[in-house]
Amino acid sequence: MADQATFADDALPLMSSLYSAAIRLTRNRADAEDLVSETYLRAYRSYGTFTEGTNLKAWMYRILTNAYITEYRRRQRRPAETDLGDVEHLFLYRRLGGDTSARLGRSVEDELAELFADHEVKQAVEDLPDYYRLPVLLADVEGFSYSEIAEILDVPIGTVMSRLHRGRKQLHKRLYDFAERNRLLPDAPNLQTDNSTEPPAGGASGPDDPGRDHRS
Amino acid sequence: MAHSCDDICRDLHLYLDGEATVTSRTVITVHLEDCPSCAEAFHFESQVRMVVARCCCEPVPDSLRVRVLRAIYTADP
Repeated sequence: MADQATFADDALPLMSSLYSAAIRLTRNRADAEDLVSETYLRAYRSYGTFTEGTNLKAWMYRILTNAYITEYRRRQRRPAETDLGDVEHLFLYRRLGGDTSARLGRSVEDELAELFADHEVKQAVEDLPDYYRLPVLLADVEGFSYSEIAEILDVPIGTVMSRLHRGRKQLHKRLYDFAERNRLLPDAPNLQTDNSTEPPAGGASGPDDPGRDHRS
Repeated sequence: MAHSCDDICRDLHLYLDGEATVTSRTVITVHLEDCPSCAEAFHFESQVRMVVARCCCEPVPDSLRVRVLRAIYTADP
């Protein structure tokens, strides 16, 4: 049993990862801050039920996920969440990778940075339906194992695997759509190759950050 | 037993997720050493994940830290 007196020391270091996930889930900073605050309060109140030595991060994510599903999801006006249907294996790589002659001396990461801007990557994640977005965030951003994700989302491991599989394909399809659009419209202002020009995170949404707050 | 590139790429996500079995992991690692095209596909996929993970990291506003601390310290146990 964990001691409430140590809660702040134990749990506060997890805030930046919880807050990052909360933004991708709620799609705006105000709701994300409410969600994180609510998560910490719930966690604090039930800290006595947490078994010390087990996975605190997974436990906190389970609370965050439950709070999101029960409180925040229904109060949000949802943008259309479209299931893009099946997408072939290695979809993105087959279209954007493999062209080694064209990128001699360039890293894949540099190449990806030229194909889509940071805010488009965030958008692509936020466009995923919840049932794909949650496992993708938990696996690809937070590095949880399949069994931890199954525990956090309270679904069988097989479900985690199939949702991850399909969710990643959809994410890649969205990224490809952005890359295509940027290629067709090379002068469009939405692609910044210099990421340092982005407005500081945590500040108000600026013109470079479209759709950050879907309620506006 | 020889493994085709399709076999190897089918397990790409399991491998990158660290969820492949020890045997499968070994088979894939050996294959990637000799197969530049599969190695490139694996590298590409892992880089896409890195970009997604990097883009999804958001710094916490100080006001939120203060708000959470205040909520905890003023909460009924």
